[in-house]
Amino acid sequence: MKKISRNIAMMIVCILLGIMLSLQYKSVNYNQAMSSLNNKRLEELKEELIKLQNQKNELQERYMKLEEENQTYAKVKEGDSEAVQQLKNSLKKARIFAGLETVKGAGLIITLDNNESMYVEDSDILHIVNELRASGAQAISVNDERIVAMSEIREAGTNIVINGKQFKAPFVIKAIADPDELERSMTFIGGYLDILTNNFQLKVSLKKSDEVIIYKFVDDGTSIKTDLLTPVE
Amino acid sequence: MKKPESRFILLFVFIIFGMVVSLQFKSTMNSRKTTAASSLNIEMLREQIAQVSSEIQELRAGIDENIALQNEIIREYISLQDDSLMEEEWEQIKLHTGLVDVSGPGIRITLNDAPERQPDVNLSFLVIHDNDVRTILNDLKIAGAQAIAVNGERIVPMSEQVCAGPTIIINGNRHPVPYIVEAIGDPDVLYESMSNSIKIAEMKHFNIQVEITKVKEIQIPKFSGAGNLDRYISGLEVVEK
Repeated sequence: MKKISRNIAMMIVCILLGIMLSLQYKSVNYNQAMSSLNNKRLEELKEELIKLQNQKNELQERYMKLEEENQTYAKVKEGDSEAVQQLKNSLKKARIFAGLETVKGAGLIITLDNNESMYVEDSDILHIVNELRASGAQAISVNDERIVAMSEIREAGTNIVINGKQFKAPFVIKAIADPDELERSMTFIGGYLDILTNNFQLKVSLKKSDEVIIYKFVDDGTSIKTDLLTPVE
Repeated sequence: MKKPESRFILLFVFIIFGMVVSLQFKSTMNSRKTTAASSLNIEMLREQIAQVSSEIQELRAGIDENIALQNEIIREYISLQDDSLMEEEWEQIKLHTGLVDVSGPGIRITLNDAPERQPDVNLSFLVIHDNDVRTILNDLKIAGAQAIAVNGERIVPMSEQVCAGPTIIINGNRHPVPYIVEAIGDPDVLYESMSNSIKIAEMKHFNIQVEITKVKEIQIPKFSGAGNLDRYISGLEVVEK
């Protein structure tokens, strides 16, 4: 009798122990998962904060610069010649940015030509121009036609139309930015130029230059239209 | 002989039992502590993020104000020069190149990935690629758009559209779907040519959600880098004729 009751007691204790062990295991696992989740969220938030702080610093810099410029510009009314000069510079900068000044700088010249059966298409040029922009190009021209904000690139037969003007192959695409960087980002294996050369056998050549001249955009009065735009201030 | 053996087993069982209890206690306490600590941290980070965000908002507003002030001073200066050509050109540069916010009639194109998988269709056809956006922008330019923005990012001469995983980078900033392309121009002409766009037909064929609407007045923001043009022209030297 004694023996049986002791055995039962032992069994109960063992069962309890087993249940506790499994619960324990679960709970520890859960706790670990929770804390790693929390840590992950913490990491994410930290990253976000850092990103925002960088953004803030950049904006702050720009803000200070603008404030400074405006303080100088305030003297324009008094006829301060230095202030006037700075203001003229600022006008010039906008003109450069818009593509209304002929500029030079170190850069890359890409030449694309048809072969016997394959033509250079508008999408090829569009793609290359976009890739150059993404690689930090500050000015681009195709056959000396400056690419501006609303420059279209389209096909008309075997010709390409840019800014309403027609161009024939070979197409010479010029871009100003760090030549080595441009070359690296344009020539990687599987990149667009690589595909044009090896899959489509187009004639592609690349030339780095310390002095690439990119001509200004010449408006014949039909390309830049702003009649529908109302400034909002 | 029997008695000591069962005692021994009991002892063993209780030792494990004791270990389990203490482990559990430790683990629970620990997790409580770290949860409390990290939720405190998360709370603090949230606050900091909110604060920095509001500071950024303030700075943005300040920058906008300064740009407006600068434009005002420049306009005044130019008007004093009595040079109507210069005045006209300056207005045109600002409008065309994206240095001011503009409004006007036009169209809005909303693009979103296909809502679900389709049998026997490569998944790649169901999502929007940089190339799609690029082609649509080019089509809009061909149709005579005068100002374009994608998700509020004004298109300027050197605006790139490249893919970065599930997002597209425009003007150096990442944008996820949906893409809202806004263009100012003749709404009828823009609508007509976008409705006939091969690119858009192709996208619609794969159930990519494309919605084109004519809008009487769209407002398009200025270039996010306006007021800091130096950065975009640092490698350019002007060649005088």
